[in-house]
Formats: sequence, structure tokens, C-alpha cells
Amino acid sequence: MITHGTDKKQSSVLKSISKMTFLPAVTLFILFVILNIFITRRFLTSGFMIGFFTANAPLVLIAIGVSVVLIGGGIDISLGAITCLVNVVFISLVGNGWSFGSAAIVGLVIALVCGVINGIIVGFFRVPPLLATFATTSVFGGIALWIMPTPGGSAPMGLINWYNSLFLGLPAPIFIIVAALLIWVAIKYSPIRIWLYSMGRDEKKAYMSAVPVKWTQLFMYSFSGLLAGIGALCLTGSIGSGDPLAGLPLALSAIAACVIGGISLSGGKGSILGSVFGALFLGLVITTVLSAKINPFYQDFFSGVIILVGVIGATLLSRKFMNKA
Amino acid sequence: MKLTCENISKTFGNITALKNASLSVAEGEIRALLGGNGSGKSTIAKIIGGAVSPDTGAVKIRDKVIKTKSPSNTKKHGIVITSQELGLFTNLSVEENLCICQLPVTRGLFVNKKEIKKRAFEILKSLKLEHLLDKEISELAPNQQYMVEFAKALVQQPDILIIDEITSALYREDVEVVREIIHALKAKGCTVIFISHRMSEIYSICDTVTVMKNGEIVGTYKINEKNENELLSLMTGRDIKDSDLESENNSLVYENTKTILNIKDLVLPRFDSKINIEVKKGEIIGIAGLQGHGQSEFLKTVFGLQGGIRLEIDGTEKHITSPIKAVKSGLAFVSGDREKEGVFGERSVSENLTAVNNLVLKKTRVNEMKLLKDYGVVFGSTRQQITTLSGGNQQKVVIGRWTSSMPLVLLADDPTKGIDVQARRDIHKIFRDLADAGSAVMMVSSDDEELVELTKHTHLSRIIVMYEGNIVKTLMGKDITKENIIAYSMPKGGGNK
Repeated sequence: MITHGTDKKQSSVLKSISKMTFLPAVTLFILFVILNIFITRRFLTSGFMIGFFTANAPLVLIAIGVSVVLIGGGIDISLGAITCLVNVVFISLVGNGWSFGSAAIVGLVIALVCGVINGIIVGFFRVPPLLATFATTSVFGGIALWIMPTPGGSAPMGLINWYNSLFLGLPAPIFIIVAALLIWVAIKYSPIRIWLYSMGRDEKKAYMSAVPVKWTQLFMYSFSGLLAGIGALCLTGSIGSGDPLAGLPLALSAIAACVIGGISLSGGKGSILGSVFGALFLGLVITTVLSAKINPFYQDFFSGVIILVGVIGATLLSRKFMNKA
Repeated sequence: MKLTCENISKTFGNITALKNASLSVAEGEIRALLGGNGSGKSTIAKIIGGAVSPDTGAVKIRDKVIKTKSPSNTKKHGIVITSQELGLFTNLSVEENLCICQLPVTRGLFVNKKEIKKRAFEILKSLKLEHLLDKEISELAPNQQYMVEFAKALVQQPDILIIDEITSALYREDVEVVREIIHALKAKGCTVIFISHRMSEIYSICDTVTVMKNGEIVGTYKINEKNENELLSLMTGRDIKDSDLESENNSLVYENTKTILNIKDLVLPRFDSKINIEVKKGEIIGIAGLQGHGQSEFLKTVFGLQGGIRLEIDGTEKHITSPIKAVKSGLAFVSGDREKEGVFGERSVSENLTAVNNLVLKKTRVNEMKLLKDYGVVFGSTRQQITTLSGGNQQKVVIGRWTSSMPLVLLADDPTKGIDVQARRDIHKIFRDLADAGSAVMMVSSDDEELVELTKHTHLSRIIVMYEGNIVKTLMGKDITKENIIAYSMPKGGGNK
């Protein structure tokens, strides 16, 4: 084969770029940051940044959680319901005089248990994950409504104040997101990463290669459950009260964020970083629509159109890259 | 005895895959399993490897019954199975794939990347494949993937190694490396069960051979006890003589034959080469060459899989921009990769057979029963899921899908990969009949002998040899020999690559 040295170098650079599945999401994110610098008043002030991250940290966290499930070839649509459940349990406990710390720990344990239940149903009873988590959505969401039929209660002021403040010069929610990412980094260096990607590509082959498929599935649903729990505490800090329905839409938005971030619904492809930027992009779309002072009745419509245009553009762009490499 | 299988039976639905099969293999023995389509070779291999559990019977190692419940269970006993259905993950690197069965960890938690790299390098070096380190599986050529699959088995330091047809996609050079490795394992006392359809490999690699037919063991023989025709007779249950293979006519009447497909200046971007060839009506063209010299890219390009291409088909200029246009212009493409590009795994035999006719061409119905019977497909009902058939039978159905669409030119990319000798001959006959009916066949094969066999018995045939994306030689008539193919596929100016 005759190829010139520079050609080869160039094509290998293109190839490694085309492997960065998160690139479209990052591009969209940057475009919308630039756009908002012009249309959103005080966009680059710390006050705005705090508001942006407090509102969007739950989505980012749940997107991180569901990414792991999607990469492993599963799907989890129950995370919104888990968020609701933890939110109302936390508020109820605090309302009954529990301390912030113990209520938070109970909330996180409940989230983990919900995830473990999903994991057992999918991993050990071999129920298709969409059905399993569809059913548990109703179960977890139902319990949340049972505990708190209407929005109410209030979060401890300490939580709200800290969550909505600057910590070491940065919006506090950023530290929670970074902490969650650090957990992922630890997992990344364990065998679980290889198991996840192998299962996502082909579960049968993974089983044939002695990958502990059931246990890895148990792990991934537990992990996503736990992240939904952390997301729920953030949501509580953001809305300041209990609401049995507030978290529900997060389930699908998080999956959308992952897909925008380059994760494939058929599994085995993509990165967590992409999902984070996918979620931040979705947050920026809402900011954009709000800043454009669009009539609230049309806001959903316009944010939908913006997402569609963005996603189509990103898909075309990344396909072009793929073909070149 | 090192490994014993006792009275193993297995049925899938109403198909009996194994009937009371018993088998014992000694320490350091290399045993070939030989049998036609659906004779049960792969099933017994999968049972020993823990991928399929038997209905009755037991697997024993050194006279102790072992549980064959799951692959991770049998791996503990040192049984490693490597099969034609590759166990590789295209989204992981070569070294991750090699070590996935047993990832080395530090402090019980983290993957030891250095150790993975070290193990992978050692194994790849012994296979002369060091250059594959750090690559992703998706970047490798098919035969390299099979070599990595073989390496993945070696990393696990097998005590009993089952090789299920991985050599079917390998080229001569690779098979030689595999042979050396197997003999080194044998010296260490490893027991090897070797499944292959290439007789020459069985003779050069194995000590003993067990012949299977219809799920039963016919017998076990020392390899030098039986010649090729005797083994074939045992396999098929009918007498096979060399005279069966004699050709009746080998004349070349190229003048006045109509050109059915005219390929002008076809560019293979990877090689920056140009290909010109006129394909005649009723012709069979074998495409030979060393691994990865553009043979299958050439066919795929003609079928519109690599972007738009202009072709002259049956006298009219056609712009083929997609496979659907190719099909509508009279082309057909049979891939050697059944799993990915051949069968619709979740669908029935009947749907697989009629897919092109019913869904793409909207032609009249296919006489399914007649076609399946003519092709000698072994099946229960046309409504059964296609993946319940053996590999060779699946491939015949796929070929039937295309031949029944009456293509002008059938493009076949190593279509007999991993298929037994009898089924291979059946497929050759199908191709010849198609050519006799006025179509043309272009076929790539990784097995030179197969190309010689196919073209030798055809009225109008030639073999083109490709090198670095160019046609370097066209062989016709008496020149069609394995030796010539080998000679012309080697790089010029002496020296082996």
C-alpha cells in the first residue's frame, strides 16, 4: 500500500476524532454558550451560573447514571420515579424532625434499594429491561404519591442555602457532579468498564467469555439508582420542597441527553462525558427559550424545535467525520 | 482418559442434534471432528464448552463428571472453546478482547493494564501478530479477527482446547502458524479437538479423526488409516471416487459470448487501483489472491456498498448508488459473514428464502419446497427459525434467496466459509447451474483449492488473481492450478511479505 506519511497522519487524527463520540454534544454545548452570551442577560455572572447548575444538576446526575446502563446494553426509565420517591421521603423525614444527614442517608439507601430491585429483575429474572423499569416506575412513583399526594413540606434552609451558593468560587452543584464523575472514573479503571462495553455489544458473547453478566447488570441498575438518589437531593435543594411528580420527566430527558452525547441505545458505545454535555445542552436550550421571552404556551414547542435542529445538525456533522476517517 | 463424553443426547425442538454420542480423547491428542452439515460437531463442542447443556449424558475429565452448566464453569476445568461465531467485541481493543475472560487486577479492584498488555503481546508475538497490539477489533481484516479469536483461547492456557472451524477463514500462512501452536500445546499435554472442513488441514494437524453423521458417531480412526475419499464416504454414507469430480468439458468459447457486466475503471480507494473487466454471460470467475488484497472490496464496490458506481449491465449504463439499486439492476450478493450480512436470525426459513423476491423485487412466489429440496437443505418446517439450522444449511437458504431472484450476476464473497465439504460441493453445483442458465458468477474464496475445483468443471470460466487491488493475472483452462494461483498472488521481485 502506498500512502504518504502526512496523509496517514491526517487520517489517523481524523480517526481518533471520529472515535470521540461526545464531540457533537460538546459542539452543541459550546454553540449554545456563545449564543446565550449574546441573548441572555448576565449570562456569565456567578448568580446566573448558580441558577443554571442548581436547576440542571439533577438531570446531569441522572444522565450519568443512565449512561452506565445504556452502555451495558440495558435501559432504565424508572430513574424519574426513584427521584420523586427519594424527594418525598427526604422531605417527610425532615418534616418529622429528622436531621438533614440521616434523612439524606435514608434517601440514598432507598434509591440504592430501588436500583438493586431493578437489577435483580433484569439480571436474575431475565425480564427485558424496558418492561422491568416501566413496571417499577409505577411502583416507585406510586409509593411517592402515597407518601405525599400533593406537593408540600420544605427542605432544610441549610441545604437550600448551601446548594444555591458559591463553594470555593464555583457553584456548589458542580462539586456534586464532579464527585459523581469521580465514582465513574474509579469504575473505569476496574474490570466493570470492559464488562459493560462487552455486554453492550453482545450479551451472549460476553456470557461465553465468562463475563459475570448477571452481576454486572445488578451493578449497573444499582449505580443508576444511586445516582438518581443523589439527583433527588439536588432536586430538593433546587425546588426547596417535596413534589411527588417533579422528577418524572427527568427519566426520558436523561436518556435523550445520553443519546445526544453519543451513547447508542443498542449499547456498547459512547462515553459518560458526552452525556454530561448532552444534559448541559438540554439545560441551555431551556435557558435560551426563556431568554427569548417566548410565550410560555409555545416554550415546549420551541425548545423541541431547537433540540431537533441541533440533533440533526450534530448527526450530519459526525457522519461526515466518520466517512472521512 | 483425559476427556470423555458419555452417551450425550441433545434435541432442539423436534430436531435431534446428538444421539447417544460417546467420545474419548487422550492427553496430548489432537482429534479431528469431521462431519457434514448438522452432523452434531458444533453441538458436541458447545456442550463440552458449557455453552449448551445436554439433555442426557455426562462430560468427564480424568474420569470425574464435571458440571457443564456455564462457560465460566467449564473454563475452571481448563476447557476453552474457540469458535467460528467469533467471541470478539468490536468496540474493545485487541488486548482487552484477549484478556476479557480473566482480567488481571491489582489490589483486587483495578484492571492491571500493564499486565494485559504484557500477556497480549506475548501471545500475539507467538502468532506473529505483534503489530495488532493497540488496535480495535473493528479495524482488523476478517482473517486477523479469527487469529485474535484463536489467541484469546491461548491466553486462557487451555488444558482442553476446542477449535470450532476458526481456520475456515484463514489463509495458508495463518494456518501454518496455528498448526505450529497446536503442536506446541500437544507437547505440553494439552488435548485438542479440531473441527475443520479443510481436509488438508486435518491431515497435517491431527492425530486421530472422529467421523460424525446425523448426530451420531460413525467411528474414530488414526489419521493415516483412511484417505480423503474414505473419510468422505463415511461422512456422507455414499461411495466417493475421484472420477466423480472429473470434468466433462473445459473448453473456452469466449468469442461471440455476450458481455453481461462491463466494469470500467473501478477504483479501490484503499489501493488507489483501477479495475477493468468484462464479465460474460454464463461465466464463472474465481477471484484469488492473498489476504486483504482487495478481493472482497472489489465485489462490495460492484454491489454499491462503497458508494455510487457506474456499470454497464446487460448493455445498458446503470448508476448503482445503493444495494437496492444493484438488486433491481440484476446483481446479487452473497456474503461469507452469515451472521452479520446473511441470515435474518430472528426470522423463519421461508421468510429468509423469499426476502429479496417478496420485499425488494415484488416478483412471483418462489417454489420454496422445491428449491429447498433441490439444494439439499435439511430442515423440519419452512416456518422454523433459520438459526435452528446448521451453518451450511443456513447458507444454502441465503444463496437460495438470491438465486431465486434470477440475478444476471451473482457476487459471492467467500460464501462457503465454515461449511462442510458436501455442502460446499452442493453450493458449487448451484453456482454452475446458475451459470448454465445464463447468469454469471463472481466468487472470492480464501481457499485456492476451492476456486480451482469450482472453475475446473465449468465450460466458461477463469480465475483472476488480485494483488494490491489490481488484477495481476487471469488464468484460464489448463493454467488453472493451485500452484499458479499461489505463484501469481505472491509479491513480485521475490521474497515473502
